[in-house]
Amino acid sequence: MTEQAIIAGCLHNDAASQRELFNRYSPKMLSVCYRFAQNREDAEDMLQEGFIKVFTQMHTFQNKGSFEGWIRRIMVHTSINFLKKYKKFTESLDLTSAENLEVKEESIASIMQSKQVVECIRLLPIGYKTVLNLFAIEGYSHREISILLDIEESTSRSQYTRAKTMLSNILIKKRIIEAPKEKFELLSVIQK
Amino acid sequence: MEKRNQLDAFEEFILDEVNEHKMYPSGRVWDNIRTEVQGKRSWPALTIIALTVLVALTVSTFVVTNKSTPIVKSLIVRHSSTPATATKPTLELQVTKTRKQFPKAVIQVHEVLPEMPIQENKETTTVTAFSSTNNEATDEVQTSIEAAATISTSDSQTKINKPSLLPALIQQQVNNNFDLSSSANNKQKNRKYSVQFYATPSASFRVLNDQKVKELIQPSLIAIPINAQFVQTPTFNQAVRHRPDIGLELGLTLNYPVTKKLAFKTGLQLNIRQYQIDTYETGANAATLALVNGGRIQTVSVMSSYNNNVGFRSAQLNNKVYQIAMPIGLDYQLMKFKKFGIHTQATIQPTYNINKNVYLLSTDYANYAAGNDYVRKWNINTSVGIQFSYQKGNTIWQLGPQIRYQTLPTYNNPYPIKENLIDYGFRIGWSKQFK
Repeated sequence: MTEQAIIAGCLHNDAASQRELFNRYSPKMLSVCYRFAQNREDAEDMLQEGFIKVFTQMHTFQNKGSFEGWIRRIMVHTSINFLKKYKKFTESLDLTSAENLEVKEESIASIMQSKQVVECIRLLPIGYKTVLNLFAIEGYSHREISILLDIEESTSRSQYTRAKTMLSNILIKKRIIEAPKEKFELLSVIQK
Repeated sequence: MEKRNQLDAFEEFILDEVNEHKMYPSGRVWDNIRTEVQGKRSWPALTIIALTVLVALTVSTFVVTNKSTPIVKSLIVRHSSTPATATKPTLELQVTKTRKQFPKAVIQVHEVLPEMPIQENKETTTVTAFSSTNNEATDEVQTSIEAAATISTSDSQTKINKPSLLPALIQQQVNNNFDLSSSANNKQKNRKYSVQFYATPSASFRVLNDQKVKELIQPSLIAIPINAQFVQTPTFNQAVRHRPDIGLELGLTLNYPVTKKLAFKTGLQLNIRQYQIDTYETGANAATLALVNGGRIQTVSVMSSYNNNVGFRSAQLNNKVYQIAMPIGLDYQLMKFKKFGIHTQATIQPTYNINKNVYLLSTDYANYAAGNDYVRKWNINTSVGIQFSYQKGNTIWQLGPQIRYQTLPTYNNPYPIKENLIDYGFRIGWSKQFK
């Protein structure tokens, strides 16, 4: 079934088309929600809410951008609203504890690298990971993030910088990426 | 894209890895979305049961109304006299004939003598006449005849004698009426319809056939090693654990006698069939379905949260279908005693699946996934059975074993594992005869 046929079917509230659309996009969209959520259950609730919006707001899709992008934005907004609704996001804006985050040094070879990266992002405090998700992965600007999260633009920038550093450290500890040794070696050589 | 160009190597690495990641939601997510968007699925069985009951009541009402409609024939014989011309008394007879289920016809004659006050019965004569029907006939006639002599009284009224011709007249009238009714009875005796209500608790089994999988799919999908002769792919009987469960059949049929022993029957029937699947619950994974379309093999991935071999807890799935069927068949009387009888019956039943809650076995026998989209909407069932009957009046009770077999596979033709359902049941029936 083509994407246009699915959209046309969904506009007519056709259950088979809706099922097809769900089957096609739910794996990616659940991954999006999962990165914002605190657990899988919350992620599935976000996904459910998001797809209900997709089906009920289908007539507002104007074929201007990509259909997947449209669905993705709905999922992101739904996830943010979910976090706000259950006060999970505002509580986490207190970032003082973030510096003390403990990460075990281990290598999880059995798990695919993409899953490891996602799990590492999820280890970040919720404020950090939300900003990182929005800026680095979903492509929102700091201005858009500040509006979406009701924070200052500068807060968004600083949180992103900290999130990036923290994630880098986590990935190094988890042996997913290597520490940038070359720079230090080069620097030491120059100094010598 | 502009944004992506601004990302450093680390950010780009994160973005690429994250975009690779996929997760499969559990089945409840789609169920909740469907309920929210499409509305709750009504349970059609209730509608069907209600419909069956409604039809049954309508038919019963129709039958009862037909039976209780009295046939009234009036014979009026004036019995009057005037002082001047009181030579021939006339009698007024009212003959009311009503069909009832009695072996005898009862004739009641009430005579009112002229000297008594009007409408007061002085003498009542009851005449009992045996009908001409034999023992098998249940349709009898009760005839009541009321004779009333109406007399205009006046001071100069002469007394009249009790009409001596009354019994003869009544007898003649009754004979006439019996002649009419018995000839009608003889015609109708041979055409007794009956309506049957029945319920058949049954055990639902399934028969699986994976010939297509062995012939077409496994050779093309499985990389066969050099020592292939030692490799045994599992059969579904090694892979799956299914248990039969209790099903039910509820129905209403109309039987029409073709000959004395053979009756044609048709009606409406609700089937509830189910069996249990023992499996394990796992995280959502993609399961593979290989579909055969015109000799070509098409592989489809479906989401599954159940695995036959491993999982974090055991689970039980219920493969349950509701079907509405129209049995069309024959009922043959093998033996007939006074009240007891033995019948055999066979029907063919065009069947429509009205509700589905089934799980489909993946082609590698490893997973179960929701299989509602692959269920055949229309199917054909056949059924055979023997019934022991007990007749009391126009009511017949039936009991007996029955086998019902679903001749076409449960799933559509492309799905290579063929499943046929078979139900072993015990029918309890109640039927009412009418003309």
